[in-house]
Amino acid sequence: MAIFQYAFMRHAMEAGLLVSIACGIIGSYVVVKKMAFMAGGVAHISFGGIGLGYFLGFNPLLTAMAFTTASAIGIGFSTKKSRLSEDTLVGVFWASGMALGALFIALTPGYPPDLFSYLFGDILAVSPTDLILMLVIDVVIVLAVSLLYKELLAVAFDEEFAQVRGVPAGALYLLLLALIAFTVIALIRAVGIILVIALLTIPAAMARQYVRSLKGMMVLSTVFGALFIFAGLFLSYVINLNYGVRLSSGATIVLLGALSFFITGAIKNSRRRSGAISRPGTP
Amino acid sequence: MNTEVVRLEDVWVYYDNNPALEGVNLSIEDGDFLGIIGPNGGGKSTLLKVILGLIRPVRGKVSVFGLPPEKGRTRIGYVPQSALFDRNFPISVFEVVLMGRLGRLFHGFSKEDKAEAEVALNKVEMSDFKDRGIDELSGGELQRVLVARALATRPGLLLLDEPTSNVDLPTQRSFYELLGELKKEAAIVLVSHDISAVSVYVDKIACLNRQLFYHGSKEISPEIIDMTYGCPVDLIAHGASHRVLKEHR
Repeated sequence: MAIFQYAFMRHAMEAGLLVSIACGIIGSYVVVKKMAFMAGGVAHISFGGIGLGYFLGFNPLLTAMAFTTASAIGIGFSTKKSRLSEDTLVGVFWASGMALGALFIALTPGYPPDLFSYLFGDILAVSPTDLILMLVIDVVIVLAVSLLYKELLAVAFDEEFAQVRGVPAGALYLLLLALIAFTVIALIRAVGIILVIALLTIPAAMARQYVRSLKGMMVLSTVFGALFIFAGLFLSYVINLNYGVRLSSGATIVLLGALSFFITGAIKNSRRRSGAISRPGTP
Repeated sequence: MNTEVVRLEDVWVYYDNNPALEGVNLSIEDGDFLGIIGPNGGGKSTLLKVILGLIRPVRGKVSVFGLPPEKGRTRIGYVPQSALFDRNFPISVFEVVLMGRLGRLFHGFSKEDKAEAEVALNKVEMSDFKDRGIDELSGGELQRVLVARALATRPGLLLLDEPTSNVDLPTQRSFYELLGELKKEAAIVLVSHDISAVSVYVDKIACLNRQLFYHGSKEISPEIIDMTYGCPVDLIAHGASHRVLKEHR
């Protein structure tokens, strides 16, 4: 097909593949450990780092990576050390991150940058440098998760028991927060800060309906993520070409994902109600 | 003389300024089967967490197998409340039991670990459920799986938190029979707010309502009545909770 001849399209496809690995693996933890609010917070905090990048004249994604990782670990640390609930701290960090971003950008001389592409993503603008960053993030995530799979599973399932068994549960939780921050950075180009949370929840939650292990969830949600990204990319391109409507690819990806989520959920639900799925062992 | 498994001396724990444990003394010996009963909010979970080294007391001394709890706790098989688990978590029975073999970072589970997990599942008669997801288990079955996970650690002490909440009576009975078998392998301590279930099966009873009243042994009926007058206890009957006993002076 003609569209694959364009370099920007190839880069977008490669980016889609790379980010779906990160979101498939880390999204599975976000879903089973019920960390969607935390992940949403971490995503929005990154805006502060983007603004910082513009202000300092650095690559905004790199400053965002440092800023977001530090903030995510900061939330985790403050939760352990203070009496405040994690929920509250996420709320405070979330808004402060966004506000700092606005402040930095206001302080930056010259024309304001194209914030829309950071907020809602622009996967067609992915550069070779972005691809390398995504690849590095994938490698870090795959390495960390394969080396510490059984410990991370134990911490997600039953943190206290893991701790009693001598697993450094606190440190692993901070590691998980850092990996969420990395994933957010990888996803910003594809779907944008505001929509990141969709790719960290929808593919994994859908995958949970079809598999029964965390590993299976990671693999299947990677596949779902890639499908949504490819389909959304293609659909927004075709709509733009034929109807002249410039639909953001990020929004198209998310809407396709949400639609699949509700449809598959409804099908599963109606089957369960009609008794087609039996659950042995449950009275 | 039996060896001492857990020793608490004058242990105090506060949440903010509210005392949760006041001067608790406790000695658990090898071979003990101790039930700790007390009302909700009486500090039962706090006491378990102190023994597990998850909460550090502001005052007092805790030793577990002669070590500080953070070190000695690896010899404790901890069985948390089954009702608190997310049943939708994507994990199989065998994966849960294998968690009892955790300990070496950056290594997979060895053949011995897997064999140990199989033995533990066999002991609680749940081998047939090995590959099931935990969403396919009843409350009583999950409880047995959590016991298997604790047994897989090869514990010197089994510590159970409210083991029979959310479990029907016949299941409770067979569960306590299982514990009766297991007490040959390890000392057992369980906490519960349900005195009726506990008192029949355990060998010793202590009552906890911030302070611990340890009576050393469990004598039949009149003694139990006498003792329970000593501390306030919620007696659960027919699903309703009544405070039937006097406050401790």
